[in-house]
Amino acid sequence: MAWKYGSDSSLTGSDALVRGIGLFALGLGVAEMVSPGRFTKMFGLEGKENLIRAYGVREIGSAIGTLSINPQPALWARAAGDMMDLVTVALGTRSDNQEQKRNAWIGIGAAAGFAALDAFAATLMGKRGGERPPPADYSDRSGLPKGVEASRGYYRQKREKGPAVATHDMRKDRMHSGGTQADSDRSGRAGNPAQTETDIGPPPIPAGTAVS
Amino acid sequence: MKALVWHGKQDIRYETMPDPEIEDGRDAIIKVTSCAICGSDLHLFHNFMPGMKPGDIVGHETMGEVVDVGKGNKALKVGDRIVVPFTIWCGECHQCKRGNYSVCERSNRNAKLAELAFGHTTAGLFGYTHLTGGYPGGQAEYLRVPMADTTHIKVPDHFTDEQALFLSDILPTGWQAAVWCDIEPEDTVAIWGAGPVGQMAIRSAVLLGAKQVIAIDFLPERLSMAAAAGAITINPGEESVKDRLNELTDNMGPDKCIDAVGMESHSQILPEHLYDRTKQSLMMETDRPHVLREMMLMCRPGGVLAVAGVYGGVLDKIPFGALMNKGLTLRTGQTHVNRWTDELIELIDEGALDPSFVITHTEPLANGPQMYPTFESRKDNCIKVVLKPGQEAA
Repeated sequence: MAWKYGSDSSLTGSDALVRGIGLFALGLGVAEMVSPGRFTKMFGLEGKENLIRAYGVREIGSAIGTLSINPQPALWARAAGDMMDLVTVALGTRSDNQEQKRNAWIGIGAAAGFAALDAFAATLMGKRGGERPPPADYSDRSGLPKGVEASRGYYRQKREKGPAVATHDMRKDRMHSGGTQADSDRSGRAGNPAQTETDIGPPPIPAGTAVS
Repeated sequence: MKALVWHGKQDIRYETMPDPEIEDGRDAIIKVTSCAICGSDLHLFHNFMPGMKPGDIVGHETMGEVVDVGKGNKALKVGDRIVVPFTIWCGECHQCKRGNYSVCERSNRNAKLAELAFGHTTAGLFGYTHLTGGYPGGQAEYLRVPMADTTHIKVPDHFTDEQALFLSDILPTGWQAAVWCDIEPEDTVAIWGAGPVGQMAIRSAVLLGAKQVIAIDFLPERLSMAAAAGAITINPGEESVKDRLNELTDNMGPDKCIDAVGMESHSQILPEHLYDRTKQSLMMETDRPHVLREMMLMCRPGGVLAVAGVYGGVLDKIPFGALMNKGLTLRTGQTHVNRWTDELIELIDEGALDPSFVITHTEPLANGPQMYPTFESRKDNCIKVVLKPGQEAA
């Protein structure tokens, strides 16, 4: 069920299982809402049609969760709902009708089986993407080789000292004069921070960056 | 060639696809040496972005070596080492002439679709839905770069792939968000989301001179990386964001706020989260805007909100009254990659910034289908995945 490194798809057997459960739950929920009488008659639960309709709403809700990108909570909720179904269907074993009594026992087995399946699927989803180890400590990854305090305002101070890179207009002129693009090609045809072609040659300070 | 191909929700496959060919004189073909999985690729993985088709090659953070060039392309030659900006830009339209490359008017070959969704077309993007042109993406062995005479960044020889690759997207995205904030020396900048873009925004805010930078995220490993750059961290799962922000700002609120989360945000307030989840599941809203709501309510009056996280459609229950009455400025947009290239290359070259800090996983391209769920679930302490087409799978 679980994916293995090097397999060709991110969609795994466990994903397919969960989608199947979700679609089944959707169908069951609609059936329970549309024709609850068929269920009450089958399991000897006459008079409990509204309860079956409520279960139908619950099934559709769990189906939406099961078909979402994070199905694990809905699967655990489904497992709990299966136990409610089991208890409800078990009431049918007291029926005098032998067929209803037999159906109730089959229903108990099915509910128990679905509860196990939902719990199994929820466990598989918990393992999706690998194990969750203790949080890593990335406190040595500043990305600021000069150190945090030396970096604070580094760009601002650099700009205050004057342009060190070609301004937008300088690059544009070079492009349109057909000159070499050896330098300007790093940024294509333009690149001045937040300035428009109508800007006239100031240092490339990002828009609104205050220079005090 | 081999590539990572989208087939539906949570279904990315490593498959053989046709080799790209020159289709236009301005094109170039690159042999990909490194590519990365972006947080916004997860929106495709979750099938939240409309306009994907089974068989689409994904990926928009890519670099490599030029192996073929169209006859009209005088800017590149075979052997050049380039980073590919995720926005395709013509360099000739009204927007490109103003440096607004991410809204290039000519590069989206499905402009009519984009007009239906957004009112006007935006730039063509690599590997990012047919609304933005349906161009094959760069998580592949080879990539055709349309309008390559403008859509490229030449990489200094002494830069490693790991130093240069993020010039394609997450570094200029974080930088633009910080620039949009008009940071002043006394400013407190609060950044929601300490994923890769949030991490870049933190470093950018520091380099632009913010007095205090605050990072907000649920994941301890991300917060430790944020703290490494001097950020004060808030874990919404452990403390109230509102109380902590007020404590850090003398009850004034942060002067500037950056949304580095986007359309799939999680609220620590359960009823709000369930509300958005339910509406999203029932297709009554496309995006979960918790971060936007929180920024509008938390930001100091007169402040600036910069949105770097991706949104795709329709949002619900936005406290627009707070935005208006507090006089907040809202600045958004996909980053205009090449607009920021020179200063970012300069910062890397001077040793003031090393973007490779964010990489936590490097894998062969063939392991891409497994790295998507690893990245998605944030397990294995995964923050950023780089894929190498040239490496053999284990």
